Amino acid sequence: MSETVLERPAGGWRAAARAGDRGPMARAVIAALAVALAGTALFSLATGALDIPVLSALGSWVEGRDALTATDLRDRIVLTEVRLPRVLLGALVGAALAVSGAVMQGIFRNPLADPGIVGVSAGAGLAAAGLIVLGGGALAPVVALAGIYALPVAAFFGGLVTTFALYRIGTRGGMTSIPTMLLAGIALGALAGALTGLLVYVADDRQLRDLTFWGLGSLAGANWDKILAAGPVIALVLAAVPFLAGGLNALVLGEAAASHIGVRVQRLKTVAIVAVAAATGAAVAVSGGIGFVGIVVPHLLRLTIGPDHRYLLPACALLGASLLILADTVSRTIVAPAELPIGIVTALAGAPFFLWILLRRKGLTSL
Amino acid sequence: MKPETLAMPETVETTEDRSRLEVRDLAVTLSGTRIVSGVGFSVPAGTLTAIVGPNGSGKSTVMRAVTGEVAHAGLVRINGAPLSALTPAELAALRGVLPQHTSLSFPLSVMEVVRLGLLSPAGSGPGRDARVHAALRRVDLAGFEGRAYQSLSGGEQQRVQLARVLCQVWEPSCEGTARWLFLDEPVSSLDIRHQILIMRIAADFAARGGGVVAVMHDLNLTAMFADRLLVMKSGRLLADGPPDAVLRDELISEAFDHPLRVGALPARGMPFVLPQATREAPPV
Repeated sequence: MSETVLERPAGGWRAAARAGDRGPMARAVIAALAVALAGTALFSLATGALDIPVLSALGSWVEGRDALTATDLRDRIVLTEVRLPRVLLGALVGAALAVSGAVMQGIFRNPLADPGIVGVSAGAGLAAAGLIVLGGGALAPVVALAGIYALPVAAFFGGLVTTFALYRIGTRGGMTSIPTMLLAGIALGALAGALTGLLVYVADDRQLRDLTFWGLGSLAGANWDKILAAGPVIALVLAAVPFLAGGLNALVLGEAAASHIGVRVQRLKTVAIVAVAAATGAAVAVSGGIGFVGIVVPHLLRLTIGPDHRYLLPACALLGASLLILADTVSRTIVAPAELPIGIVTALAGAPFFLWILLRRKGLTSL
Repeated sequence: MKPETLAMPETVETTEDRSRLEVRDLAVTLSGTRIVSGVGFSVPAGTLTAIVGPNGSGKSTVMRAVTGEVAHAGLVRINGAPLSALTPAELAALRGVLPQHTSLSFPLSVMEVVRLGLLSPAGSGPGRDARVHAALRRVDLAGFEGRAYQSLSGGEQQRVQLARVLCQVWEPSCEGTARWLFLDEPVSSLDIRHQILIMRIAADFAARGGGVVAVMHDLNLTAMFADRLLVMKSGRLLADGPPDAVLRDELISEAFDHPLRVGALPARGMPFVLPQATREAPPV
């Protein structure tokens, strides 16, 4: 077979994928996911108690035109102050959780490493709960100084400390033991949960209401302040992780082999851990604990486009964002006028779906 | 008879002499146990050097120290530069390492595995993919690009990994500096035809000016292809020299604690090693 034939396989991405190159297919999937995200966002903006002509209302708002009628004004307020922040926050949180999951799985070389499962979310939640309950007392000056950033920053450090502890416990003599790491994550998650319970015990009524929000996970409190607080952190992480993709790909061969092909493994791990803690912390700070996005989304995409992180990470961001917007739309409409916490929706849909993936795979090697 | 140890040549820093691997007073301690001590050798590029010795003699540990995988005491210099002074990227441009066994954490295709050997894996132009295909052809795996790595046999996986390493170093020398291949038991799970194929690839790499250091078990295959033998025993270097100097009855029997006879292949006078064994019950 001549080299020109091998290099440019006829028949597009299908043939390329059969020839072991899933890049063209991955790019097609990413384009489709981008379109799907736009569609999901519009659908979510249009769905709710009020029927709003989304495109024209958004258009007139973006162009800065005055609302002509009372109905227009009402539609515009519902859209820009209620639904739009919610959709944006859902997209940010979904992207953050899915990408955090993918990066963590790459670093730990295990498809089960998810910030929710290994206790990073619990650690971030504990820090946030600590700030809510103790923030009025000894920490008051710090909270006042940090303003709307206090909660994301606290959750970030909570996530960072947990991730670092996890990593240290699981690593002996430069080798990371996956079972130790997973078990330590379960223990740390339980510990963080118990300490959060302790905080709930001493909390007053107002704090209790805030704390309940953490337990279940919700985007109900979405507003522009929250987007301003979590958005920059998540956007920074999303912009940074593509630079980790090559290193994460090499890590599929193991840490020693990755180093042999030129990757600074230790630096990669440090940057990745900080990025995961930052994104998870910011997401937990504004939405509480939303499970299963970080494990289902990367897994589903790996089955479709393969484990190449150059494609996996952007695809995770897009699919995570779409799925969370969709889950949030369900959570706020299915029992209208009441609302289900979104964490219940993602777990109800995600857990059986994950089990189905595990059951249908043909052999152990296809994981 | 005392095992013969060739004196290490005094290294003179001339330009044509710089393409060599130098190891002096190498010592490695793993979890409190001294695995390797006092190992020193100096091999020029253009040779295929085999490290042989019984299980647990420290062959692989020497290899892992030389590739920078485990911390060591003593000096390791590649082409004149101390190992500690080179960054992972500089080292990757200088040498490729074939591990004994590689398991993937996520299911890559053969194509995707071999591509990881291309330095700076960010891009994948047509020329780069041509190298991937050529490397797979060299290890007799043409057409395997689309197969899932995890579905291959152990020997096929080993050859895919060699293709990846070949993609990484590719040319045996670059602007007058030699590149190196470090192979840890490169033929351990291969059938006899592919054992010879892989050894020929290694020997060809050395013949074209590159350096090859391989940990080997099969003494006859080693005798057939290696220019230089390092015999390890109990963490020390027992002997160092060309195959016909090192493969002697007493020396090789002492190294492996088993009576071995060395003969010569009639056709080319090449040494071969024959174990002296009876079918008696193993000692209790």
